[in-house]
Amino acid sequence: MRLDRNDHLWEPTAEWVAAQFRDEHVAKVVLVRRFSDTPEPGSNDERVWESAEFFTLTMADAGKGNRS
Amino acid sequence: MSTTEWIGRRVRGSPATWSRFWFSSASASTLTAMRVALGVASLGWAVSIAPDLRTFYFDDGLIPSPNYADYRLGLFQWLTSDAAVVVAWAAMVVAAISLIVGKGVRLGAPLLWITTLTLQQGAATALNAGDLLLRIWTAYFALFAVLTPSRFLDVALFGRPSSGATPDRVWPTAPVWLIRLAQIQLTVIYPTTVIAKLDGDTWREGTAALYPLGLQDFERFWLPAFMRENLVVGNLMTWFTLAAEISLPFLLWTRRTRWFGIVVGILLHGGFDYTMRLGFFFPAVVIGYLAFVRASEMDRFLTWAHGRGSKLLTRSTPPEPCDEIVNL
Repeated sequence: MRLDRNDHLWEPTAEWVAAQFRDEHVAKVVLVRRFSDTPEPGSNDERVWESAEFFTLTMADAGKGNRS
Repeated sequence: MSTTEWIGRRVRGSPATWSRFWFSSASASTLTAMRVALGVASLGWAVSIAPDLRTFYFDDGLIPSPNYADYRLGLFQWLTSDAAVVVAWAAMVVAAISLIVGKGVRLGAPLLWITTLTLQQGAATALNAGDLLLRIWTAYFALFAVLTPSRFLDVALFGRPSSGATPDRVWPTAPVWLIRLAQIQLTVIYPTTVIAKLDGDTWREGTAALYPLGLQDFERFWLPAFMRENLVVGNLMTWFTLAAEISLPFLLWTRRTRWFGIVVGILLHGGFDYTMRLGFFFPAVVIGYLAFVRASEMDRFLTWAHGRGSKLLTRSTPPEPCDEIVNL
C-alpha cells in the first residue's frame, strides 16, 4: 500500500492503525515509508535505510489526511 | 518421400491430430488428482486469509471500498456488507471441500471460482502471481464442471476397486481437454517470464537471483550466507533459472524428457518457494505439473498409494481382544 499508485488506501490504512490503539486516544497517525537500495551483489556494501513520511492523519481532522 | 508429400500428409492428418489432442478420453485419475490438489490449495488459501478477513475486507478494514475497474468482476461490487464477506469465505471453504472429496463438484467448482475471484478482487493489492494462477485453475475447472457430466467429476481420489480379484483401482474415462488446457497454461508461463527477464540487465549479467535473496521481508527459510553473496553462485542460480525456463516447454512436451522436465520444474519452483515467500505459487504450479502425468502413470501411482495406505491402516489397528477361551 505504500506505493503512490495505492494512495487511495493510505487514509483507510491510517484509520485502521488508529483503530488498533483505540483505548490509547490516538491523536495522529503518520505513515512512514522505509526504503533502501539493495547493495550490488558482491560489493559487500552495507544496506543503508532511509525513511520518509508520506501520509499524516490527524484524528480531529479524520477524512482530511495531510499528504507529505 | 519428398518434402511436399510429407507436408501434404501432415496437413491432411492435422484435423485428426487436433481432434485427438483435445477431444480424446483417458482415465480420470490425473484429472481427479488435479481436482483434489486444487481443492487442497484453495482450502489452504481460504484458511490463510481467515485471520485477515476483517483487516482486509470489513468496512473498518484496510480496503473498505475496492476499486473495480470496468474489466474487473467480483461479488463485493454489489454485496458490500461485512456479512457478505463471511458468507463468501464460508462458501469458498465448502466449495474447496467439495473438490477434495469429489461430491457436488458440478456446483462446487463454479462456486470455488466465483468466491476465489470475489475474495481476490476485493483485496487485489494484496495479491501475487500464485493467487492469480490459483484463480486461473478455478476458472478452468468451473468451465469444465459446467460442460461435463457429473460422472467424470464426482470421483474419489483413489477411484473405486476394479471388478476383478486384483487390488487395482479404476477411474471413469473422461475427456482430456481440461488437462490439455492446463498443460498449455503452464507452458506459456515460461516463455512469457523469460521474455520479461531478458529485458533486465541483471538477468543477462547473472546477478538477478541474488537481489531477492537479499530482501529480508521476502526471506522464508535459512540460506547459507555465500548463496546470497557469492557472485559465482549467483551467476549459476540466475543462468540455471533462465536455462530451465527456456527449456521446460521443450522438455515437458517431448516424450523422452517429460519426466525430466517435471522433476526440473518441481525442483525449480520448490527452490523458489524454499528461499522466498511466494504465497501459493508452488502449490498452484504443482497443479499444472500434475497435468503432465499420464493417466496410466497416475493410475499406477494412486493404486500403489491406496494399497500402501490400506496396509498402514490395517497395521496400526490393534487386533480385537478375544473374549472366549478356546480349549483345544
